[in-house]
Amino acid sequence: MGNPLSNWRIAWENRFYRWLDQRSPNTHSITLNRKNLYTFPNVSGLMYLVIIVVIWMLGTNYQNNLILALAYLMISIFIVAILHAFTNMAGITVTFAGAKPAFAGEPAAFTLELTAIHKFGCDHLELRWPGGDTQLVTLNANEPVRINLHAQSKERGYLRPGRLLLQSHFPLGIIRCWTWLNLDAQALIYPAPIASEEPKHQASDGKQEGGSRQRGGDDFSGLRDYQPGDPIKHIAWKQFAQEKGLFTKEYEAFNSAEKWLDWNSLTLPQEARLSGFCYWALEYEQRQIPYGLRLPGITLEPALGEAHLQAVLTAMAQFNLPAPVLPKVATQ
Amino acid sequence: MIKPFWQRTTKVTPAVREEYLVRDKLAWLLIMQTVLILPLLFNLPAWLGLAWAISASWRIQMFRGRWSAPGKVAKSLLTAICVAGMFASYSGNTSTEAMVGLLVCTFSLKLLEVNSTRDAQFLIFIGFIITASQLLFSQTPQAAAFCLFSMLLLLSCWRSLHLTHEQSPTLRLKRGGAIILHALPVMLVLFLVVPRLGPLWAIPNQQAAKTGFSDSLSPGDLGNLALNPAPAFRVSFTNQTPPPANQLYWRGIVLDGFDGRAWKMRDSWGRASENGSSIKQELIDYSVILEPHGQPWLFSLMTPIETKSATDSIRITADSLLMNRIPVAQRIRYEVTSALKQEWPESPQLQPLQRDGYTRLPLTSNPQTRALGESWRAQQLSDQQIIDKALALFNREFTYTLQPPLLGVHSVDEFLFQSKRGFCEHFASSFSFLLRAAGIPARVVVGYQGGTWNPVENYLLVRQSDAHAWTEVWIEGKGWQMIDPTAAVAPNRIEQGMSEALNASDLELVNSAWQSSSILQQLQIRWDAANYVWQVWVLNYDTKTQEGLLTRLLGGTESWRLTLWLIGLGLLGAGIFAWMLVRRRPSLAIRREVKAIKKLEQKLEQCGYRRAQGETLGDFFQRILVSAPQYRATLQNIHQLFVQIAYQNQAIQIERLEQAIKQFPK
Amino acid sequence: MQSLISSIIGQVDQVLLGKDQQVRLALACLFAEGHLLIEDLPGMGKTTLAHCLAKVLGLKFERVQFTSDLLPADILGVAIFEREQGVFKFHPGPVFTQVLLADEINRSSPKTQSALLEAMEEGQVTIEGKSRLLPSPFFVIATQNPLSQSGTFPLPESQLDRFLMRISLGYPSPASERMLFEGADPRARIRQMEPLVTSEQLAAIQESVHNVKASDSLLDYVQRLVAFTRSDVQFTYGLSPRGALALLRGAKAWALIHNREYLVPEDIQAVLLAVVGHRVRGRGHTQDTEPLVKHLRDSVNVLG
Repeated sequence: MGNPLSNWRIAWENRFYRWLDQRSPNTHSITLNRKNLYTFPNVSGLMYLVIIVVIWMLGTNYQNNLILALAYLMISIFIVAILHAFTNMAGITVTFAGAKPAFAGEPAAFTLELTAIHKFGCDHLELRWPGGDTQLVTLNANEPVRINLHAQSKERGYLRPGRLLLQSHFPLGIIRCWTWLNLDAQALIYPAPIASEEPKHQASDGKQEGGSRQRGGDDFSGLRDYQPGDPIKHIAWKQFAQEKGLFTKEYEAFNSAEKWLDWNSLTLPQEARLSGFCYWALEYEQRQIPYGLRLPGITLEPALGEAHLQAVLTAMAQFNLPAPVLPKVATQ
Repeated sequence: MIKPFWQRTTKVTPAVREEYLVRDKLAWLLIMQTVLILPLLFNLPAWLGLAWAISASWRIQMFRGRWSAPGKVAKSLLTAICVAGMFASYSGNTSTEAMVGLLVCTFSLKLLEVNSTRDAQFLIFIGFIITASQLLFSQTPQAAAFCLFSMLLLLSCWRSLHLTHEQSPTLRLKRGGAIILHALPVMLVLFLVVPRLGPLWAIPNQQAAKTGFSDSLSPGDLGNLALNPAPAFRVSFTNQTPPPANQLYWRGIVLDGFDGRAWKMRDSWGRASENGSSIKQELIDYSVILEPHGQPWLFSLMTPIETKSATDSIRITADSLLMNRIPVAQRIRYEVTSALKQEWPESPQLQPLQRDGYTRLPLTSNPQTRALGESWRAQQLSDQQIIDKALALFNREFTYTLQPPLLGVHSVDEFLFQSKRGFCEHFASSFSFLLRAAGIPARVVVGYQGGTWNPVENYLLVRQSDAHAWTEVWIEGKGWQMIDPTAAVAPNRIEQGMSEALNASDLELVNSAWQSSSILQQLQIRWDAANYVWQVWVLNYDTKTQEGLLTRLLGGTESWRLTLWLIGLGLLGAGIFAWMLVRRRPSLAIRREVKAIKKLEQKLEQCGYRRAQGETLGDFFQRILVSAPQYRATLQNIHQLFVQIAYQNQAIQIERLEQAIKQFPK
Repeated sequence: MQSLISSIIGQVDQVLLGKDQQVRLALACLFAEGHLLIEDLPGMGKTTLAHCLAKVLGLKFERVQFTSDLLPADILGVAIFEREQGVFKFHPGPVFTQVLLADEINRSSPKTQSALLEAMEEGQVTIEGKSRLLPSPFFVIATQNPLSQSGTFPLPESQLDRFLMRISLGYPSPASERMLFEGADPRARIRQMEPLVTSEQLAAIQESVHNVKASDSLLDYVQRLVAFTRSDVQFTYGLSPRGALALLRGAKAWALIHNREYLVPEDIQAVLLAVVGHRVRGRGHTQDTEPLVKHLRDSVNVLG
């Protein structure tokens, strides 16, 4: 801060990204073409040019036309390499096909679908989110490939990983062909699960701890003497056939203790509270104890299962975000 | 047990930066290097081949997992051996060969420590220079083809370095070849258009092996050449037809001193021989491509008047000979205008000193011949009569043969009075001696005579076997006149070439070197024609040829014109590339009926109707008809046709659909 | 055959006033040998539709009200010990019928739901280790209350996939509601109705659905649609191959009802919501997939 040079740099970068944004508007699916692909020789490419100069001087000095022709062929190959590097990547369609939610601090996996329409497909394609790890992909023509590209998440909420870098040095490694794509990609980031004291449970919902039994479920619980009026379908015919007497099969459903993750049950700062809830939600899910969530404005009834867990985690991830980032819908 | 999903560790692929080389890439490098080095090994000291073999086999053993990579000691040792070898072979010498040797050393040793793609890339870069140095040693079409093959391997190998999926070797070669193929057009344009510069700095002299005859002529010298079919030079005439064979005397050197056995060039003692100007007649323009022969002299017909070459290093001597400033070490091309005849309005005079020089003979040699010549002079015969007498003598009693008997000390005497069998140098030598003995100025000229006309490319091929010697005699009022005593003995030798002039046993001798089968001869002619074209258009394509070609092709060589053409060609190339890009998209193959409908949609868009993406054609037309009922019949017809084609597989209707859309909105 | 189909439609239309599209979809579903899921509030005429269809087609009709204590045996049947003969005798459940109306299927426990859905999928039930074939044709019309109420078990995605179509009848238009008030009781009308087709004729109609042709252009369109659901960011997951096949099958029946032997994109679009609506899920947690399917229909180019 305050350093004029760094201010300058930031201003420059912002300008550059604005310019990029104009060139590559924010959508969930982008096809690479000459408008968004850039090519430039890399260090090896410059070395190659030096080699050409050496060979050209050899040919000129010895007045050797064949060596000169070789130098010209190499220049020509350089041009062809630019075109081939461009063709290698042109026509690739990159589609953001969703992101798996992750816990804060973990890398979030963004699923990208890549399709190359060129006859030769695309070789040696590198993909990377800013600051992320590079992944190498080979594409065959018209065969969509799905990859998971990871970006590090920091805090709960929505993670927008920034511009996606796609680059390739194929075929000769002397030309870099690259693009930054502004994909409309975001991943839901759950709070980081951090162990805390177990949330206290309100007695207000009237159910006693330890759970209750409820008749009429579909788990067989035992036999009892037949009483007139019992449904005929519940009669234990096997026992009757064994002449043991007339019995009625009894069914019941088991309701175990329900746990509530209540906003008021923990006294911690907001994020720490959510982290604690997150930890306990996972814990209850593993222990198969139904749990519900009660945040200001949101109530999720106690239940179990992956879907419920996700609903709870999602609600916590979206809870009271500083500035809501809603998914932009690509309609045009 | 499966962990719950939040406890599963997400596997993150490691960054790909310095990946190690896969085995198949190493195999490619090995093969590439072998092929590239192979032609160089013939031109370099043997120990270099050994050094390469050691490092290559070490690498192969590493490849097979038998040996480990060379340690520091082994590497230093190998380097030391190479450095020692370099010193031994080229101590203090900075010749081209030394340079190439050093390069081969580096290339070989580098292979041992190639680990990463970056190293391999470096190896590829050296490979390019190695390929270029192949061409330093040989520039035949075969060498160029091999060089192209090297490039193919290099590029396929290079591309393989960056390949991330399996590909068969043939496919790799194919794709590498495609890169070269795509590059060829631009290369051709660059080769033809880019201006040539002269040498940037003085290069150490290349020693070329001396071929052909030397600067002295003793009996038997040319006889050896007669068996050598190698080309000496090739000539194309501006008017496309060569002069008759009896005028095809390619003068090379003039030998004017006789030491009793050999004719030699004497020091220049005032060679301003023919003073006074002559009228040059029967001018003939031709250009010669001379194979390097390691001598400074060049060849021309009769009296050269003017000569041009790219290096401007040729001068015409007082003896009407062409001389290069330095020995011809590389194939050169020069253009000459010669006069086949010259007339002297005033008689040319020979200075007394010169006359003395051209009639001088060693006092003790060949007394018999000397006596004969002096006796003729004593008979008060005129110069012409003496010459006729001498020619008649040869004509009467002498035989032309490639196998003359060996001659003793007084070679001319022995030849004239005893063996009477000989080859052109015997005749020229003895004839000159005889005339000198009679006091007539005479000298021996050595060069080539005749040549083989190549009808395929219209040029004259002169071989080493066409080497010839004849005599020039000073005739008062006419200057130096050419007289070929061999013609008096074996006129066929002059008119039809050597094989006609020889007897059976000689022919056998020649045939072993020369092919006489007609098919083979034809092939030979064609092959030589190809060589000639290669030399003219590739090897000797210089600034002058370039100018001529560009003027012919583009109408001039002004820089604006060249720029315009280059831009045009560039645009054309870009267009072709764009077209290839479009053509390559298989998924963009649009059905014909959809193409037709797209045209209709364009028309409708001008009327303000636009089909939404998800709108079917029926719905779209329905929408139009609400506001434009006048199109009802047409649109219904089009819709019906489209449905028939697209959904009822009645492709036959396509013409009717296209017709209907063409006529819309009628 | 065409006159037969149109007379069936005419008959049903007279009972279910102003529900042409839904009636046609239900018929298409039946002709395509698929099962139908109706999502509606009570009293919208679900039972009437099912009953009416069964009557017109001359099929045996059963109705089961699903409740939370309904057991699989209540639907499939039980083996009861006959004391006189000393053997178990199988008492078939209501599933042994031709048109089964499973009312409020989401009220019963998943166990019972899956028992029915297995029967739907296999065309047979296995009780006490013995397989019993269901009559043919076997057509399930299940209804579901869309409002999530307590004590319900919504059908999981894997089960929803077993239904070829999901439709919603909705409130009638004022005009047809007026006619409903003025006319006779629909139940009485159904009672008066006579079967219009024999079971052989129905089998022939079902057979001819397979003969409806789909051209390459049309298959391209279907593939574009399917690909869109798999790549578009608004879809949580895309359409399965089974879903794509169902789309084709439903569209073919639709084309047949409209007297065509080939498919046009309009057929696909007509059945798109009914076939695809319950097989996809959007990004948000909303149950209503209609906007999503509309987005799908509007975004995919019909012509290519």
